[in-house]
Amino acid sequence: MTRLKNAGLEFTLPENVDRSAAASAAAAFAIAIKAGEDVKIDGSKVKQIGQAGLQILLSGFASANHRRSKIEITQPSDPLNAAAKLAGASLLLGLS
Amino acid sequence: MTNEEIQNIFLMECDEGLSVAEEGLKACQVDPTDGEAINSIFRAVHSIKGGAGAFGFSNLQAFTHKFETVLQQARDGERPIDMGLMKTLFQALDLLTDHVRAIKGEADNPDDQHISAELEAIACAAPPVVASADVETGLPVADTGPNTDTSDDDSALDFDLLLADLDLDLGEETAETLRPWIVKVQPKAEAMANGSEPLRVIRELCSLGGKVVNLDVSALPEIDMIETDQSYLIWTIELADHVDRGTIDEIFDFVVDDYILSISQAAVTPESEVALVAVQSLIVETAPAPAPAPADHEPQPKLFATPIAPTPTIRVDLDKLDRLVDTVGELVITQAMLVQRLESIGVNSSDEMSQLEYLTRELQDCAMSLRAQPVSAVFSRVPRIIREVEAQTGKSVRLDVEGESTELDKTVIERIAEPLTHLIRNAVDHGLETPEERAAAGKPEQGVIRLSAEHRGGRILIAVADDGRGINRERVLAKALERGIVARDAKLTDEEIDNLVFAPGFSTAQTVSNISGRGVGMDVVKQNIQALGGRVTIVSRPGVGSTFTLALPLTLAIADGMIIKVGTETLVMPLTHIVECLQPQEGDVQAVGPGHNVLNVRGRFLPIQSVAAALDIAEAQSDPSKAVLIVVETEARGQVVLMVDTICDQRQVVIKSLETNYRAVDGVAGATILGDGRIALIADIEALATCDMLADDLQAAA
Repeated sequence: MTRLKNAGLEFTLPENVDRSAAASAAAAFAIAIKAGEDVKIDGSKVKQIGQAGLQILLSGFASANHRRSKIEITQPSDPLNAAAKLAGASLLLGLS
Repeated sequence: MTNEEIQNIFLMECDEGLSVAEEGLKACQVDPTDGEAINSIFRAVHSIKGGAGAFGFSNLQAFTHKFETVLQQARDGERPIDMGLMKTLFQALDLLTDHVRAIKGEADNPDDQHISAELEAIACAAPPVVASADVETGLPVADTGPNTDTSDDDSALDFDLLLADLDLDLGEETAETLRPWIVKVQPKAEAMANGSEPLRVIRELCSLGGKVVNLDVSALPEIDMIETDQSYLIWTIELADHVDRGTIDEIFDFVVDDYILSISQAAVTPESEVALVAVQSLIVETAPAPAPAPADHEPQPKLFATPIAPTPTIRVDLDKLDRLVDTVGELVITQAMLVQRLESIGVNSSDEMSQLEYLTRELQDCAMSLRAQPVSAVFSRVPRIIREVEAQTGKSVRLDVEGESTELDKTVIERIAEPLTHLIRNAVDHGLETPEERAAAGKPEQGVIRLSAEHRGGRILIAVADDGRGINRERVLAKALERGIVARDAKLTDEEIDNLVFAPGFSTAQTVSNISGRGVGMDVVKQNIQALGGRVTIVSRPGVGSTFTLALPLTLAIADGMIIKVGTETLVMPLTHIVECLQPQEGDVQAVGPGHNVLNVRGRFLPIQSVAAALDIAEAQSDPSKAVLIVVETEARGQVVLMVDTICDQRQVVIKSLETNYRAVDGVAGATILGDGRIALIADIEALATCDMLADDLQAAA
């Protein structure tokens, strides 16, 4: 997790986005989004993600939108794309 | 739901449908072979037709029927989508928009004879078309090419169900021959804590040929409230009717306790409720226009132009919202008064007061956001304006739009419609060259208009850029001299020459047309934007193009202001105008005539304007070297220095209209109530800076 130059958050999702990883991500997103910072989520490492992880991402996108912060998932891995597509969440998460 | 409520939903769905159709037509323009684009237009028009018939809007129904017939031929490949057809389709869409406005009572019934006849002629010229089952039934059929599955047509499906709920007779529109399984999967809150992974269940349902037709995220809390063990999502999955019910049940054999399940066949009553919820998520006035249909089979996110999670919504009268905003404004004032009162008795800070201030600010932000709308509400009118000007000028224009989900106050949005129309028409008519001129200049024959919106520094910037010829400064200056707008001996910078286009009555158009060239447009643009507390700037490069940028306040109700004192009066200066505040050193202020001074600001001499003199305030500091000097940015004169006695504070102020409560006063933009309960006037910086006409000459002399 690094701070961007514009004080935004750059967060790398781990290989396995389980409930524990989702909780860590939620905490980091919450702080950044509440502060009105932009959030960049690196999804390139994700090999496995379930509902807990997708919920965090969906909530993060909705919250960032409410607060007019920018949020995006960069380099989504194939498993991440597949999980989002399966759940019908791709477009909500800005994924193809 | 009452008939009236459902009719209102239909009217909103019409707007959604028109936006979808507009996007679809634009996509077809780029790629006439885009099957999904033509499908999306067809579905949108079909959906409007269905509702129009149900509610007895016969004119609308008749027109959409003709429109739909041609679209169906195009969709089925019976008619190539060429330039001629595109033109007719765009005209038909514009007329459809007019029809929708007519049923809303916003306009008279349009005269559609000409376009109707054209549509009929096109339809007759093609082989007869048999309605295909996929759209008429709202159900998927095989072999209609990719993405023709209308299960992703949420709006049509939902609306049909709504109508069914009302028991309205739609005839063939609701005819059904197949009844697919609708499986609603709601993991219980503690399902994941019990070790269940709902995505596995979804995967298994999809492996039976199921498709997620709705992902309900309305229960999702904000990110700071979410509990990762809890489940908040609800899926609706559609499965073909030939799938055995027992096979579906088997998937849940060992996890049935972790789920709330609903398995039924389409169009049965419980699922109508699901549709109602989905439709209600569409009816927020602030909901952005739907995005073009996705390339994959995910239907529900296309309800949103940007990745916005749907949340439960209700519709509220604007009056109620305004009352809330007003009350919150009063609360802000009261909070400031409380702070001041406590300070007067020696209580300077406390955790409770800090918390109250924080909560008040949060409440205010929330209240203001209730009035926010995406600029797409006004941007959506632009394609039609461009089409009209294209037709009138023979120019070819591509419109690029960015940031249409950017939000700002509803009133601001309403008031920028006219200025934006002027700017767009002007950009096409004046800014862009003719195709021949562009070809001669080595440019593509099609000109580009780029419309964008973004938040920056507490303001919203709306830019209209063209890649045309740029402002012809020689001609602008010559015209300004001819009309006596500038003095013969005036030496103007490029920027000042560009700004002459905003002078009242100014126009360089060779011929007066009904598009632009009457010289009444651009000054109206500037006046309207200034009346909103915004400003217009121009950046133009010869041969490359021009960009007109509107900088607008996010809201008209609140402003950050600097509290200043001039003599016995306390005034508020909007921070948006203030560049810097200075206490002059010896020699910084120089006299350039009786009663007129300039300030040396790092080598630039700026005219000093006394606020006391402008507003006729007594007992004020008259010596600039002993006063506080505030450098402000103005539209009319660039940077000007305002002279005040002292700066007291900087705070957010609630703007009260002086005009509404008293009358308009020159030099005063409004009023506010300060923390001590006193009323302070909010300075109109533009008016203060321009009240001394000599200031401009002084600046030029300096």
